[in-house]
Amino acid sequence: MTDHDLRRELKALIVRELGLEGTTPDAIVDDAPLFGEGLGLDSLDALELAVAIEEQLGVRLPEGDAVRPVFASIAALADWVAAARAGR
Amino acid sequence: MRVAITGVGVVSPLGTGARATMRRLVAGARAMAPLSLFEPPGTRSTLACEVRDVEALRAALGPRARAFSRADVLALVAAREALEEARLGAGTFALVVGGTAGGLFETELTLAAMLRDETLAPPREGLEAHPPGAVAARLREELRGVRDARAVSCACASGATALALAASLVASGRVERALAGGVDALARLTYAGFDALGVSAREPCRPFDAARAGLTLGEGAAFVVLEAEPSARARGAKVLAELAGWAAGAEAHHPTQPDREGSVALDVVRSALARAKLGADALDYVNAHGTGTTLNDASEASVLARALGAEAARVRVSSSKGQLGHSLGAAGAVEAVISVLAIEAGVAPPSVGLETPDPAFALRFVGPVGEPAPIRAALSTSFGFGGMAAALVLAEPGWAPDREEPAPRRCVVTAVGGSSPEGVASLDATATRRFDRASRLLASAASAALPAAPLASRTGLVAGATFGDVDGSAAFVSRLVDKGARLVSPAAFPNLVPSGAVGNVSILDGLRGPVLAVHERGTGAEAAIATAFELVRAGEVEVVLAGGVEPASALVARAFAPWRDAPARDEPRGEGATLLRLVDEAGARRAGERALARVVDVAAAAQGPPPWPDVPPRAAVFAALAPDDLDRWLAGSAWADAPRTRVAPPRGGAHDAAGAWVLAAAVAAIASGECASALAVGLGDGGLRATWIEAP
Repeated sequence: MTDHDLRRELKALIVRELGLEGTTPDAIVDDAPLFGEGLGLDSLDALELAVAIEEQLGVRLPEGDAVRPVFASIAALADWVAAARAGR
Repeated sequence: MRVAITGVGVVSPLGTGARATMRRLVAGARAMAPLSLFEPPGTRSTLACEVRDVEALRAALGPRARAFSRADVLALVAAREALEEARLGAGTFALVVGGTAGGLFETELTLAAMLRDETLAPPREGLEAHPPGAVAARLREELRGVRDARAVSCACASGATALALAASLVASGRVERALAGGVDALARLTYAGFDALGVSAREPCRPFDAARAGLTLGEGAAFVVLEAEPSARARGAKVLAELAGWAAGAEAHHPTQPDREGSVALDVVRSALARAKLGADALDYVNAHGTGTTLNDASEASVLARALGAEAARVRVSSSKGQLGHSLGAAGAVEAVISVLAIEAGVAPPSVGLETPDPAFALRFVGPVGEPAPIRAALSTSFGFGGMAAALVLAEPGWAPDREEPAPRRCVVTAVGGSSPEGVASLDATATRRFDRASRLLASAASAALPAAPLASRTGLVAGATFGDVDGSAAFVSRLVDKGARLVSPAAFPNLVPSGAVGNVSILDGLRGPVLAVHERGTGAEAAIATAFELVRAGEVEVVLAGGVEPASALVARAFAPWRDAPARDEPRGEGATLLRLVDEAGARRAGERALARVVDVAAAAQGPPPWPDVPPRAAVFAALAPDDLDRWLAGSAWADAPRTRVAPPRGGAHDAAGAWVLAAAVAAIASGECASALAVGLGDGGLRATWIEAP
């Protein structure tokens, strides 16, 4: 899967799992913050996303504060997932 | 009016009995142990504080107790201990019970299985323990003397709020005696839910410690007998302490995160102290909520430091959760009793699990064993999901000044709001993205019942129902069983406390007054309206939205078919929410709100008609009941011959919380001049509930 495909898949997953009805996946900017500003997600969304990613993409995100850099943006998340899949 | 505490009862993981629990608590014992009630479902944490020997307690209650839920057993034992100590004799009392899980432990697997397999028939018995009002109903049956039972839920503040509501009833002269408390038993759903939120510690919890890593779940029950102090004195009762101050509110901030600012929590603490007419200089001890989570302890420590001010260097603070764990709906009641016994024994209970206090916390924490010290007054705080906050002030008899209670406030209805498909569709999609069906219906009704202008005063929200979110709970447990604890939905969990919907709506609409759910089979809405009326009448809140909500549910229709009341059984179960805005009359006038009707009184009757002997002229009875049922209940009363309106079901179909819809119909009739006075009645557990309204 290319980096581009993974990013698209993650955007679709976010919109679907978090019930963001008003947002189209393509409208999510790769480098924009996901939490706080940008998409404006909160801590509950982060937990929910981590579960969805583990179930659907087969990778387990770090817990607690360690997950913050992973969720900095779609780009950061995609990089982390790709690395985890490659066993790095 | 002083509110005297004349009896206390506790069943806890440290022992059966209030003083037995206190002895072990003061000695520094901890009740944490590997979970044994059920197999840890793959959670990170595997510890819990379980009540030992529940089966021995059950056996001692006799053969009837074989059908009781675990929560029933805990509650009944604790309630009886309090009543025995108080020696009320033949007198009647109001009952207020706080809780979040009820009989979930006994019913969660069955409901999950029924959700997964549509062909599975409901068991003939066992599911009646599920509704959140079931424990209160059980207590009403098993205890002699219960006049009116109220089951309330506001997450982890339930126990404290139950005590606050009961104290208000006594202080305002509404009742002379009340039995109030909280109960919760462990369940797989709650255990997995907290774990999914990442707030369960793998080690025994360490409230306020620099290295704290989360909470440890517990269970238990605690009850207190509250009496008007003059009556307690007149009958020679021993007064253990006074419940001198109380307050409840909601942060309207986030479903699971405390507001870092903590302004509502601080206000609630200050209101409780103001009610007690005590300053921080008159306090000797604080029993904190102190769960051991990073966020709760930080925001609470900040609130306490601000509330105590200069006294923070002197007033001892501890959390009992380092020994008893977090017993959710029971916690506030258990900790209130601990505070009473601290006053009685002259000892500040320890703060176990605390080795190195977080350096940011400028508070005086008690050490690992109790510290003897005169405790003349104690503050007990409780915080819960949805931003619920409650504070109680306990004081030794005579320490707090006596208080002349204000005259009862007059209560008017100034608006009515019902849910509608258009209302639901127009909700802010982003703000309501995690809302379950009940939350959406309630939000729709709320937006119709709230003024367009920003809220001038703290508005409360009290909504009643028979059920919580049965589908959501079944789905959550089904996933737990299928996929394990790591893959349950964290965001779904806060919706599953029975107060999930009121919590969500309070956040959406900025409602910061007392926020709670009330549960009763068939008459949850009527009971909620009664609770709201009593709060306004006592001057506890100026504006409150009150009514009911029930979501549609095929699972409820299937699972509870054998158990539903006869009138409701034949009708397909609809859904909807209705809220009425109840306002202090003087406040309504000041705000320029037009009164549609005045709420004169509310009453519940276990058998027979409402207690009001005189029927005013041009009065009518409004109900959704069959004529025969109405005849049976009103026979022999002055209302038997009053003209009746059979209220047709609301747009979404008949449902258990339609009592608010019936009252709305009566309000409309008054407002249009069709009648000058009206009685809105409903039938449910505990008999007839009636709301009497008249032209303003």
